[in-house]
Amino acid sequence: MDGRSSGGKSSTGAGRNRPGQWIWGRRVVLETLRAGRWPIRDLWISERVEAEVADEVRRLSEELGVEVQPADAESIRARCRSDQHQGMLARLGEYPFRGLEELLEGAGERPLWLLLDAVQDPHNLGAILRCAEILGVDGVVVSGDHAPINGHVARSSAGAANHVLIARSENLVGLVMRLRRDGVAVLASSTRASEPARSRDLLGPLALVVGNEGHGVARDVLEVCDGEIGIEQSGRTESLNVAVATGVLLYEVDRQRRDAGDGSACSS
Amino acid sequence: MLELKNPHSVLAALEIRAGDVVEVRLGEQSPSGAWQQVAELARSVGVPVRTGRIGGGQQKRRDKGGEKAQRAGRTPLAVAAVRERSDVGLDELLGSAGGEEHGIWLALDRLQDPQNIGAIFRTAAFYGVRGVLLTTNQSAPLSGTAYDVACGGLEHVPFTRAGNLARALRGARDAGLWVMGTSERGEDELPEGADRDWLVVIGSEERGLRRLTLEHCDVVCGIPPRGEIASLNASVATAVVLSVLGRS
Repeated sequence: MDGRSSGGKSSTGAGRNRPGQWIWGRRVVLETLRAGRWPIRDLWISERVEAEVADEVRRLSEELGVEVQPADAESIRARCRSDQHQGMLARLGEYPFRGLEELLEGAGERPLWLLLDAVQDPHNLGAILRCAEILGVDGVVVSGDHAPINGHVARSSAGAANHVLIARSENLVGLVMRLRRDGVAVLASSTRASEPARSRDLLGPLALVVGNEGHGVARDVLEVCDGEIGIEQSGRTESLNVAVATGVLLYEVDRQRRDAGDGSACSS
Repeated sequence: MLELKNPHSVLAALEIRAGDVVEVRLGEQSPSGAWQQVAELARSVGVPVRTGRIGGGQQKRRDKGGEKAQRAGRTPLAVAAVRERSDVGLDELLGSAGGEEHGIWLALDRLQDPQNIGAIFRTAAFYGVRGVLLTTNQSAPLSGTAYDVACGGLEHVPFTRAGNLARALRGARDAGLWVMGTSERGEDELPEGADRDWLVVIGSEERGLRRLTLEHCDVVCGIPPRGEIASLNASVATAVVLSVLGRS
C-alpha cells in the first residue's frame, strides 16, 4: 500500500495523493525536521504560523536541503483533508529502515528489543512506536505482513517514529533463534499466557514479541520463544488493544529496571 | 442514533441492552464469523436483521472508525443502528465507593479524540473500572467510533457527564475517593495495589490537566519517559496506571 512503484521521484500525478505519505500538525512535522532522518519531499507552511516556529522550520529545512513552500491554510486543508494541520504539512519519502545487523550490534549490555509480528493497523503501529520510544526500547523489528511505516504511522506515533530505530526481518523465527543464542530472553505477549509479566524477572537482555491484532503471534514463532507473558485481567472484556497491551508490558520491564537501579537513560 | 461497524461492539450491546438495538444490516457479501454471531443473536432476541447494500455516504470518510472498514474493503461488511447508552448520575456512578473491596474510577478531562475515549473504555472494562466521569465541554461526543473502538467496553462500564469537573471531583472526594492526577510532570510514583478507592484523572491529549483540576488531586503521578517524546498516548497511559493500581 505504500506505493513504492512511483520511484519516489515524481511529486505530481497519481502518487501525490497517497494519503499515507503526508504528515501534518506542528508536533509531528517539527519532530521529523529535528530528527532529520526521514526524507521530506515537500513542505508547506502557512503564513499564520508564529514567527518563532516558522524560523525554526526554515532553519532546519535549510540544513536538510528541503524547500519550504508558503501556502494558505485553506490549500493545506485541501491537501491533507484535515483541520488539524496547524499550518504545517509535509510529504514524506520512504522510511529509512535501519539494517538489522546494525540495529542488533548497536545495543548496550541489557538490550530491550521489540519484535512486531504482522501488526497491521497503522494507528496501532504508531501507538506501539510511541510506547517503545518512551519506555526505553533499543530497537523495533517489523516482520510479516505489517502496516507500512508511513506518514499515518508517524502521526499516530506523535513523531516517535523519527526517533526509535526500526529494522525489517523476513525471517522472524530465525531472528528469535539467533537472539536466544546470543543470550537474549525472547518472550511473546499473549492473552492466553498464564504467567503475568510482573512475576517474571525482566532485567536481563530481552526481546518482547507482539503479534497481529487478530491472531496474535504466529504459531511457528511462539514455538521458538522462551515463553509467553500476559497481563492480569480484573474485569470483563476479553482483551486489550495490542498497543495498549504492549505499553503495559514495556512499562513493567521499565519499572523493574528502574527499581533495580538502572538509571541509564533516566537522568535527562 | 449510533451506526456501529464493529461486530464486537454490537454483540456487547445485544447482550446488555438488546432493546436499544434498532436493526442490524448485513451487506451483500456473506457476513464474517463475528457478524454471523451478531445476526443469530439479534434474530433470537427479535431485533430485525436485513440484508442489502450498505450505503457508503461521504460522511463516513471523515469518521476515523470507518478507516479500518475502508481499508478492509471500502465499505463495512455490516452495520447496526443502536441507540446511545444513557448516563447514570454521579451519585449512582460512585455508589459502590467505601465498600469492603476497593475500586477504581476514571475521569477524562476534555478528551477530544473519540479513538482515545473508546480505547480507554475498552481498557477500563478489562481492568474492571467501576465508572467513568466525562466532561461535557470541549470533549469528543460518545460517537459510533468511540463505541466501536471500545469493543464492548462502553456497554460494560457506566459513565456520567459532568459540566463542572472540579465540582464533580469534590463530590468524589466527599464520597471517600482519593483523586489521582496523571501528568508527564507528575512527581509521585504510581502507588501499587488497591488499598483505597481511587479516581484517576486523565488529561486531554494536547493540554494535560487544568490547574483547577490539579488542585483537586490528592496526588499527581507521572510515568518517567526515557526518550524524546514526552508522554504516552492517553489510552496507553490509562492502562499503565490501571495495571499498577489494580495489583492485588
